[in-house]
Amino acid sequence: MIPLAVDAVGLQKRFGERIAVASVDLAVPRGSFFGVVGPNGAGKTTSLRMMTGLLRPDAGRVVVDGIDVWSDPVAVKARFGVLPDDLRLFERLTGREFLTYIGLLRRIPREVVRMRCEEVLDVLGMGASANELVADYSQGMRKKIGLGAAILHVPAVLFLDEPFESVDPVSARAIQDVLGHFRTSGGTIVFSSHVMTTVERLCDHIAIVHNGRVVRSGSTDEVRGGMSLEERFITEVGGGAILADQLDWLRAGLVTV
Amino acid sequence: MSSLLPVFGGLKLRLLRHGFRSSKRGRIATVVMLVASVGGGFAAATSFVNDRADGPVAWSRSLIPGFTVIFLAWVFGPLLLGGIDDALDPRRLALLPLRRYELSSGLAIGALVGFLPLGTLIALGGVVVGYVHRWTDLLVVLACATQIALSFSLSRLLAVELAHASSSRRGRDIAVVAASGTAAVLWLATQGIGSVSDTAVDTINRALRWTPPGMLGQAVVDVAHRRSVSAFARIAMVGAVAVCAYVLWSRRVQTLLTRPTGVRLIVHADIAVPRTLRLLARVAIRLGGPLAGAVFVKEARYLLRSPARRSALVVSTVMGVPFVALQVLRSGGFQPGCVRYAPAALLFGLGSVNNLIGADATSLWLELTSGARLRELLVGRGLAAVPYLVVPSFLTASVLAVFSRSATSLSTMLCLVLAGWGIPLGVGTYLSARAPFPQSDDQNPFSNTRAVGGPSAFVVLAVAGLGTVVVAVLALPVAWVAWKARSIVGGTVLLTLVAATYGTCVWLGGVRLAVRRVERRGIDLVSSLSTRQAVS
Repeated sequence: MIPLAVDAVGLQKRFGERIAVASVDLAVPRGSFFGVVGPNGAGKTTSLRMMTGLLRPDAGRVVVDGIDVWSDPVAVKARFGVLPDDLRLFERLTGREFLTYIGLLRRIPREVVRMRCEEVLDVLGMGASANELVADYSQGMRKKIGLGAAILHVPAVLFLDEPFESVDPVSARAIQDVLGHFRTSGGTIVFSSHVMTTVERLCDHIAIVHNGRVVRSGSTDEVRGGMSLEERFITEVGGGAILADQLDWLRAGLVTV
Repeated sequence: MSSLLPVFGGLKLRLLRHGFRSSKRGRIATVVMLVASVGGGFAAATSFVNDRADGPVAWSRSLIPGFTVIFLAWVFGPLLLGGIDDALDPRRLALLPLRRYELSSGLAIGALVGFLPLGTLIALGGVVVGYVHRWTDLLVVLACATQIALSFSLSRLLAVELAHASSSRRGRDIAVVAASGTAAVLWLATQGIGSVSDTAVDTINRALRWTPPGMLGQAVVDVAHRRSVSAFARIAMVGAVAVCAYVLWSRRVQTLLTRPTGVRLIVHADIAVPRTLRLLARVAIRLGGPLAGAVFVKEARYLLRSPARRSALVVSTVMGVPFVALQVLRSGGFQPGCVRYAPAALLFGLGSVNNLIGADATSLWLELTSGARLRELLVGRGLAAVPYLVVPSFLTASVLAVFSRSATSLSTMLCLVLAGWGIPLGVGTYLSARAPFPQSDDQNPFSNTRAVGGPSAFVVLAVAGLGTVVVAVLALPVAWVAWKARSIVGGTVLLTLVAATYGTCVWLGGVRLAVRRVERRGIDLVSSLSTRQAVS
């Protein structure tokens, strides 16, 4: 039996009347590249937040790298790195200072932090902007500096929420290289995305989340079931097709105002 | 843990340094805060030292209110100046493997390094210099240390409770009303200090010395009277309060980290535009252009739905009424003509109309790139901002009319307020083009990650107030003639017409000047404001 890096069982979350996550079970094998896909509002981000100790679930349990997230959140946070969707950064620090600060708070020796910071900034193509304030960074740069902070302490598991959103192709390639290197060294990656081609290309395991539940999960081939991932996704989730008489007014060059 | 404290301290120093270096506004804000804290600290310290020589009566009259004021500055200063920075926001540290005591110690360091702590240290240094003469007097040092611990822990506890309350709309409204109401009461209390007699001061002191900061002031008095046991007992009691507040705060911070970050603001949103809004939208279209109506309707909806804007309206109303009422009381009580002072209440709403370009500039950028003209946007935004000016003045006029029993003056003043809002709005619109500052439409009305905006915004507010008075005074001769018209009703109508015409001209003139100024820099200005705002 393959050991699990992340084992989430029966996760539930409700915000008032609205059920954000009805019941999510995820078994992420150690060393895998695990993609979580789903339409907007499916519960992906909420599930990831509950798995990383950022949001207390109403029910269910999560074990990451053998440690129960909600029993010992401090110990488990040392084992994983997170790039959340709504990452709060220290806006008035420079990129280099931010990474250094996070490294020191994770108790990495100053010399090691300095060395890793320079290398991470270089690999992510941020050497030139390392001395600019984070407040002046673009969304893509914020994603990259957030990723840098997530890997600085060499975690066992990486949780990434939409890591390629707002990122240019060159930076996306750099991020993929970093993630590839991390995985080759034995790390586990759990990431959510809307871009099916990226998920299909990178991931060896996939879960499709819809209406707060996992509707399909397994290896990429199992989930696809002979179709492309996009086709499978639309089959599971439904909708999306435009009827013949819809958007009839949308014709290029037809100015109606 | 000891290895992390310098890291947290270093973070705060770097944030202060970058805040100073980042912009001209940041430099001004830093200098203002530094001068205010050091100057205030030295003034208080000098007062404490001098009062020591004036005898026992002066000791309690100086120490008990002094300790209370320091405490209140800690608790309410950050709220009123919008001053919490990255180092005090626990959610930025949520991903790190920090135990509760490590997190709270780190945040404590962030709170204890800054301008207010510096001013406090200087002020309390005066207490130590004035009252420590022999080794038993060292209890004074303990009292001062406890004062810092108490101020810090209770101010942080209040801040985290407000952050918790801000996760629901009702809770946020209640918190805003409570915070602004308390601030208004405190402000009223400070305004009365100069005119109260020594007997009244002693009476107040007798009550204050049972409050935690007052107990510490009394403890120093006890030390000066060589009543060490009594002093120690008081310090111990307050120390226990501080410890309890600290523990409670650190627990509440921990729960804050695992709560949802956003809340649903609107449960049922009505898409149909109410008739009143439609009517005003037509006015906006007539004055600003075809799209001004849509902009106005959108902004009016924001006034209801945006936490920041709802809070601003509540705060301006809650603060405006007592402000004017106090001035009226000071100038001879609630006389029949006192209703005429009601428009002064709009002072607290000016802050919302003198930054029409910087406030929620991301929306403004989107609207500009969608094809709207700046004039349409400013007219729509300006018209939607009228409640900030009218509501406090209306309420104040009503309160003054009730106390002075002058219904006739009330109707006249209501007409004038309704007619004359264009004057402050015109001045504010122009200033919003002269000195716009990024102001996000934040979920949490108590948080402001760009704390350097506080003093700068205050300067702009002062200029707006002065400008409004100057522009209004220019119309006084005409208004005086109208006032002297024969019949009361005719006079009111004429006065209203004059005010409305003059106000509208000032407003549209302000819009014109603002458009001309912004157009020189094009969309770059709005773009720069919105980009900075989007990431804060």
